[in-house]
Amino acid sequence: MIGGVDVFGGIALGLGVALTPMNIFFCLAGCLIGTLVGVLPGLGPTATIAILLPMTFGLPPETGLITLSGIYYGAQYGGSTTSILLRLPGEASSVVTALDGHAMTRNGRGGAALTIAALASFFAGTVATFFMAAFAPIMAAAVLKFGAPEYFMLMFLGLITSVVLAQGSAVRAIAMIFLGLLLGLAGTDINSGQYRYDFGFMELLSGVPFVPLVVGLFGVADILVTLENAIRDEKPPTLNPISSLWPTRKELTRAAPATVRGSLIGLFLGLLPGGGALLSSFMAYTAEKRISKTPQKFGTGMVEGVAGPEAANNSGAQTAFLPLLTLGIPSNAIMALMVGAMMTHGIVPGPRIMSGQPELFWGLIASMWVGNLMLLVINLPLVGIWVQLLKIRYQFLFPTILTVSIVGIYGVEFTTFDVYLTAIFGLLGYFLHKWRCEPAPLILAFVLGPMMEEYFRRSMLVARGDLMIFVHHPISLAMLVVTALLLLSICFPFIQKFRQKAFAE
Amino acid sequence: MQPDQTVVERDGSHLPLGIFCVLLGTAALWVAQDYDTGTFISMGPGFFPKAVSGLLILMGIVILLLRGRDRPAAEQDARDTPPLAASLRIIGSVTASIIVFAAALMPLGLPFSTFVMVAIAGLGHSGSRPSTILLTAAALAILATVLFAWLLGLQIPVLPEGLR
Repeated sequence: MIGGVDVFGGIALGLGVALTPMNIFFCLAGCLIGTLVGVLPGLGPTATIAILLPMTFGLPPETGLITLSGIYYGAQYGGSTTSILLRLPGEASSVVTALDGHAMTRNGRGGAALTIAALASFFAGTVATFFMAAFAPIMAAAVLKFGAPEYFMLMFLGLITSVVLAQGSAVRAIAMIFLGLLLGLAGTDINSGQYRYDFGFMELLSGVPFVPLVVGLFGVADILVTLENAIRDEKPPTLNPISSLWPTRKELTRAAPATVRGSLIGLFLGLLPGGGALLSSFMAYTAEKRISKTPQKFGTGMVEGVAGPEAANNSGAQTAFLPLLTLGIPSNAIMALMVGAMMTHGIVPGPRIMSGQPELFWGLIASMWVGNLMLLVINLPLVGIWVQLLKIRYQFLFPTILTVSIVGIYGVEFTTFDVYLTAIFGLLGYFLHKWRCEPAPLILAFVLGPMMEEYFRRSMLVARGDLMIFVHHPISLAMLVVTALLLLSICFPFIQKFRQKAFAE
Repeated sequence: MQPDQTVVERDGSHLPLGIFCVLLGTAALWVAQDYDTGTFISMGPGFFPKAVSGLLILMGIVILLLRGRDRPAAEQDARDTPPLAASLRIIGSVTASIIVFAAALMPLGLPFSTFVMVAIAGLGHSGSRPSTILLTAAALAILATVLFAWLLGLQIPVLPEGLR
């Protein structure tokens, strides 16, 4: 019993939900689709989840969310496969894996690197599942102490973290935050009923629709950018032959402690708003390098440099669900998509999920463990097939992506208005990419904006316009201090420097 | 990859971005002028729109003033930009394909509008042969109809208006 919740009963209930044939099937489907797109170039997990979101609306809520989370960690897995074998990280959190993972491939140990990455991920996933099961009730109990100022401060902290973690310019990331907030303002004001930025469109009265925005910014914009890059380099990636999948005993004994450290780092960093997989893998890599007796050898194929970050990004990716499930606050762009999925099913994310919809809550947590097991058992032997997929020509790939996403968007609200919006947001996403701006902070701000406005207005009403309310409440003050430290870290950009090194060829 | 001034100057992306932020913020501010601002204690529906638009304008000005110095030097890639005509062809064909799909869906039905969308979008990929594009379009039109209208059972018009 933790926080008045029977954790073991919960896990048993969750396994009962996750192990029904239908949920196993959709978890498997999600993992496979996720791996597929994680491997394919030019499609990140955010875009994939956005594109496939409409398809899950017809499923029961638990099954829909299980599928989406399957895609999420499947994509993460696929991303590390390509970064190890080809130095093509499918997404930001596997960038560090590419450093030593690809070096191992060049040394002829690519197969072992893949196995170690998969085992480390599975271990971290198992730890994270139990951690979540035990920690969620505590968090849900703590949330009851949260008032409007704490909620506002927490979301503010999340936005600032996303600025710090954005690639490139912090100033541009802040501009993206304001752009996202502005887009989030459209629609009917809850307090006064005033229509804002509706431009006379009925469809905008309930706000800018979420799916067209995300598919436009990530899916369509990705297509435009990839097509443009294809003019310059049409060369298919060269592939080194994959060695035996079995790691040596020495490699395993070096990887094991790194896996444990990485898992623990991920557990806690994943909890931070705006954190999740990316921050976790970077920190784990830095930690391994610091601890190692031979830090100068990192980058030349150190097993620790694969196991640590892979474990960390997996456990971080999972615990990133906790703020969403217990506080109702998405901590990154992918979690923001999960909010969109939940809302469509009529589920309000937040502390009430655990008591109100225990099947959903525990089923989702249990399915994460099931999904991790599937990735290990099914995907590792399939590595050869996944790699063959890289040979699919983009001229067939992009029309397929376009068709599935555009028809899917029509299928959400059955209005062509959303399709026109997608074209506009696709153009916006393309230009933002040209202008070196990241869309992730924009999406996060778009989702958090309406909630932030609500909580800020409520805080000011309670405090009679006194901004000091954020300082007088201890929890809010603590978050304010963290936010300030984060802002300072932009001025001392060791993270930025580290990232430059990781991205530099 | 050397962080000298010449590399910094070459990245001109701050100019359109800064102007975009300032213009959009100004437009948003102009639209929001009719919304009631309220007081700090009891905010009206106009408080946040005005504050956010104002801050967006401010960020636009900051971006313009920094003139590209806000980006770390290592990320300045010296890759040459593709010719303008090629870019316009890509943007034009993909965007047009989506708009044509939206316009054609109601009167012409799902398979036909998907076919037209893919055919137009295919023009954006230089080096595709017309026959390949048409075959891809036909295959995807069938796929979309089977997947969305039959398997997922969505209420999407399949046949053209006259035949329904």
